[in-house]
Amino acid sequence: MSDLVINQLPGRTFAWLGVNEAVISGLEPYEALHEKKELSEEILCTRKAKTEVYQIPEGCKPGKPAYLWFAYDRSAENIIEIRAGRDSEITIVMDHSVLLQGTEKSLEGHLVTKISVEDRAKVKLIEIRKAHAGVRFVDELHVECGERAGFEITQLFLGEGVFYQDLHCDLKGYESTFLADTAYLIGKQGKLDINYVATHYGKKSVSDMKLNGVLREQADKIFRGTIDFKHGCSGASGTEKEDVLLMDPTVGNKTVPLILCQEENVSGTHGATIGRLGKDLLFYLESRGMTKAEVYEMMARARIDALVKRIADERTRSAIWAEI
Amino acid sequence: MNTENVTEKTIVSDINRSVYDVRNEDKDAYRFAAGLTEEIVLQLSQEKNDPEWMRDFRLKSLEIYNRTDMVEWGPPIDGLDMEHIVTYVRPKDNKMSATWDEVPVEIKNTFDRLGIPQAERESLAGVGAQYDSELVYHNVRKEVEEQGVIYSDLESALHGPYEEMIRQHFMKLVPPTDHKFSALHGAVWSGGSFVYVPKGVSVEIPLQSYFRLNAPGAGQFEHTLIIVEEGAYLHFIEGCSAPKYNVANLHAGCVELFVGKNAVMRYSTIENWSKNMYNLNTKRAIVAEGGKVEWISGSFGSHVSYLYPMSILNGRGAKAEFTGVTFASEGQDLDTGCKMVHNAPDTSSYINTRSISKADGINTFRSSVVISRDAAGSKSSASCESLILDDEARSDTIPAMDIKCDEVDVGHEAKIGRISDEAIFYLMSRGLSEQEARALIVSGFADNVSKELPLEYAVEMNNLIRLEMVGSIG
Repeated sequence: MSDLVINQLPGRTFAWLGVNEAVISGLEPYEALHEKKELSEEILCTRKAKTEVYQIPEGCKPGKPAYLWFAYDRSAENIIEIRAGRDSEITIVMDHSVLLQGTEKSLEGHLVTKISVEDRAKVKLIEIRKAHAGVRFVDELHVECGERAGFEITQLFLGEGVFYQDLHCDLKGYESTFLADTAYLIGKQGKLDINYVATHYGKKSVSDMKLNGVLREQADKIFRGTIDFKHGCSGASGTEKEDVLLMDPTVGNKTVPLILCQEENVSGTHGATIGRLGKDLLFYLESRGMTKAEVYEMMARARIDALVKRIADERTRSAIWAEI
Repeated sequence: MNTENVTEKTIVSDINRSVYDVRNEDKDAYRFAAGLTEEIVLQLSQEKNDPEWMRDFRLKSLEIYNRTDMVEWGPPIDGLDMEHIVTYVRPKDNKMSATWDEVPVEIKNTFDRLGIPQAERESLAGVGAQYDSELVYHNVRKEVEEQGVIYSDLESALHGPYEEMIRQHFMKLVPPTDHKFSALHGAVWSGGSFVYVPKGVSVEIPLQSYFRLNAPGAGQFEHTLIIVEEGAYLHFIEGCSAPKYNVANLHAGCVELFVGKNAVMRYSTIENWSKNMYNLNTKRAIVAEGGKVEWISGSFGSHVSYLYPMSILNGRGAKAEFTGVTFASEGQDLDTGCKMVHNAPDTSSYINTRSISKADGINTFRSSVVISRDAAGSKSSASCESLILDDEARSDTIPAMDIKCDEVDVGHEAKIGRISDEAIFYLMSRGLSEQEARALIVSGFADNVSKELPLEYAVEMNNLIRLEMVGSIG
């Protein structure tokens, strides 16, 4: 079995930084195959599945989320294809937290998801990733948005496992949008390796990536975020922002926010803040009777809570709060 | 009369590009054969009358060069073929002089046109002028010399009382193993300056080195080694230019700065190489406790540039600042930025850059900020802004932060965009033409660098921007 190279930086940089890509041993890219199903509001389960294609019919707006539960009792691989027809709207919850339940075994999950958001369709994807030490989870997600189509993803990474997330969103249509709202709390020897790439082809397309995270103990994280304005995407705009709270002197954090630009009439911004809490905030809370450690715990928890509160689905919110 | 021409004349009345493009025939110059072989390296070592250790160093560097791969990132340098690059060109009648009158007439005229002797008279503490592979002029004011400041060409210093000091510092910050072109530099370096500022001495007015590459198809490999001792201060200015040829020229210089405890070193560069130049330069500073290095960088020339001055903050409370502007226009692919390494507690770095791209020019801002486990209490802040002037240009921003310590405060901001229509409309309503309005906005956009430079250099930089802005509409 050969190595899988993912999370490749669209603009390579100094090799000694070790951020140009992630190489995962023992995994290979999948070959495509199809087994069609309709994705509606009912709960669907995939277990050790091969490939499933879910179709959201044109104009379909179920109103309630569809749930994909990934329950593994051993290492598993999945390919999922979701096609959201024109003018459809759907919220999909993908939950891998069961990786934690009932076992302390070493597990490997590998998920490849392809989502096609056709003209004027809206897809909201909520992904919950929680893993104990010994779990390695690799997620490759490719999204394509048509005219005025919107793709919105909320991701939560929790635990001490090893996570790889490769997300490419091609904004092909006029006024297409990509929004990412991500939070993470990684501890012990956990590792999180994220690569988000928003490629703007369509005029007036919009991308917005927000990440809020907490690293503790020996946790290690890389975030690569790229806004790529292609020639012709006039009027497009992209923003990316990462805020990382470092809780222990043994953590490792790498942040690589790229803007690639071949178009004059665009607006792109990125920002990152990394480190400890501000002195003023700390002083204020300590003057209210909290210890420094309590302040940090509270602020770490608040980052996760803030994201959870933004999840519209009550059932998912309850499940996350029960977990954390 | 064509209004475009009127505007052009108005804007560039005080500068003429031909100043930089004047070329002298080099038929009487002494040139090595093109290419890079052990024989050529030994021939150069002999020409320079190297001490034995330096000859061995050159040969070792060549060995490293031959086994080192090209980098897998950055602009393409396929047009650079070392088999066609001449690594050593000695100008006719060359003899290093301490007065301009003794400099060969043709070369003196070139530097006169570039305003170097005038600048020396008016605002500099010392000047070095390199023409192709050799220093042709070097002088330092008597009062500066009396303070114990050494400003000499590196090769003379290598044969004097400072040989041991040079040996201890030469290519210790930028070892030949750093990358392929640092190895090349180690093998064929020639010319450059050695500056030593003793403890507690403040050199109030700047020193300057000017590098001129006249020969077509040649490389320039000067080495600048500066040691600023505890509590001292130095501002060093570097300028470079070359006439344009249809063949590739190469600049693979090296700058090493050793900044002592509580010392301050400011290193300013206005780079205006011709647009057939591959500028693969390496600059690095190491800063001791409480010391500070300030890099001021204006990059306007070259066909391809790889340039990322690195600051290694090795002592508690050491500081580094990088302020840069890069202007890429037609046919240019300029990959510039900086590297900051925090190796000690309470260190701080600040990055402030602007890049401007027009025509098919490509600008890449590339940086790295590394904070090690031992650098608790460190701070780093970066702000980079890019302006794209038309839809043929390209601008990329590739920063990276590698943080291995929790007690830090790291911030990074970047923006990319174009000149706002509202700003142009406002200035045009005040009587400026569209072109004048754009030139004014771009000059203002780059003022982070110009306000850090001595006045005459700021004027030159603004003139270069105006020159680049001619014909930028449409």
